[in-house]
Amino acid sequence: MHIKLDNVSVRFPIYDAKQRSFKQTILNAATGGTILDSGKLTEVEALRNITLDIKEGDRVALLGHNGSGKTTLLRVMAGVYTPTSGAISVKGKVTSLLDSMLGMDGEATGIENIYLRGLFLGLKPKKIRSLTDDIIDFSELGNFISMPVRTYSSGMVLRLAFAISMSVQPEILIMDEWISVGDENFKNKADSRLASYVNNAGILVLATHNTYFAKTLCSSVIQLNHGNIG
Amino acid sequence: MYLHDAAEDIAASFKSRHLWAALGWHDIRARYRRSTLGPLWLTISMAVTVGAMGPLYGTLFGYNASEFIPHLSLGLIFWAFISGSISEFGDAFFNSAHLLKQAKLPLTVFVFRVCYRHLVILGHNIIIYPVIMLLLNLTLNWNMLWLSPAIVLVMVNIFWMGLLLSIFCTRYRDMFSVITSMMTLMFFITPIVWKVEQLPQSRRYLADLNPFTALLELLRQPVLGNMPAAKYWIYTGIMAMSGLTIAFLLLARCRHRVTYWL
Repeated sequence: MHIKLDNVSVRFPIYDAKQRSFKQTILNAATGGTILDSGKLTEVEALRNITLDIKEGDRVALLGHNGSGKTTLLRVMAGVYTPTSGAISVKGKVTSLLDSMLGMDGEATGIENIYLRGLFLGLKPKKIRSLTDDIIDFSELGNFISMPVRTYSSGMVLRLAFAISMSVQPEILIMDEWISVGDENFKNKADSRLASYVNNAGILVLATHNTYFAKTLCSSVIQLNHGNIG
Repeated sequence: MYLHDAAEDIAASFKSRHLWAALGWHDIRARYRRSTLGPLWLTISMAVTVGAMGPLYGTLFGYNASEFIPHLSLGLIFWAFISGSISEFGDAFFNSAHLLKQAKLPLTVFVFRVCYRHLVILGHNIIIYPVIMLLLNLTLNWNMLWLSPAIVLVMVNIFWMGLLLSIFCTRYRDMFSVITSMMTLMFFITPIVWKVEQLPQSRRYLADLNPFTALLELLRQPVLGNMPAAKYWIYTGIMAMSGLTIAFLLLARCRHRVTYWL
């Protein structure tokens, strides 16, 4: 199990940025990657020459300002973006929790959302059905599980999303930010579940702004700055 | 070129058939979520259209009801399937952008999602045909069995068109409007309401050049109890093979870029 990146760069083509103000180009922005302008095509360079070697058992925290490329780097590791240049090799099954709302639909009921999200996590329908009761129990949503998700409070939605995500043990876990969940009662329960979930994963890569979490949970820290390491 | 990745993408979609089937069903249910009759509205609106257009156009064209209404209703039902899927392929990746940016998912899953959604709609619309058969005293016929190979061949064609269009429309967003207006035009120049035999012999090639004529007749003729003409089988067969090749090469070339365009 490993994640290896060799000189990976990611550039986004911007097709609708025909005119950008000269002032903005001159003023060095505090956020974001580098905007490249080759006359014909405008590109945003979100990551530049990233080389990483993450082995089984590693707990990596990604730190950096807004727009430093944390999420893009996670997406590259998850296989969403193929690097524009450089090479990536990922061995192991990747589970990415980039957005706690993955696949959630407000009009669908809690049960339907469990099924949909389970499918996205790559589970077979039978397996999802066998996990459903545990998920409902853990989320403590009771009868609300058969109500449309739009009737839930935001805390309840997070509870459900959290319970679904935690129901499958991942090999490589890629997480964006910290999923903080619900009220005091639930938080304690969630924190211990999350801790064992993370501990059992072969590899953890976590993007966060919270240096405390980075230090307590992770064995190494990668600082990103305008798409560069360092 | 990443031929291997493209093949893997399609193979992975077949494996995750539960996913696109669930998503396709979900789309239909989402559309009719709070309505009492739900997807039955599809059936009702199709029945109303046929009921309104049938007698009018039948008289205009000088056909009697029992020969015109089956032709018209099947034309409208199958056209809704063909044009409905084609015009929605443009949105296939956009509508799922939030999913595609989360995890590595096969792109073709979202093409199949649109195909499946429209198969379900077709299933609802076709309900009115047995009723029409009863009302007009039409009988069953062995030629109806040709419908199964026909639907497979049509689906293959719709799939490659979908793959091509969904990739194309993601990169060039204007294409979506182009396709919508093109399909409106196609409604009039494809023999959906009118019949090819109404054209003078010397002008019939105009209808036969249109690939949608072949796709439509392939589906319609078996249900009417006729074996579709050989030229339609050959036309759609060649179209399926060449189209699949082109779409496959495009997928191989652009598979890696699509998420950048979203």
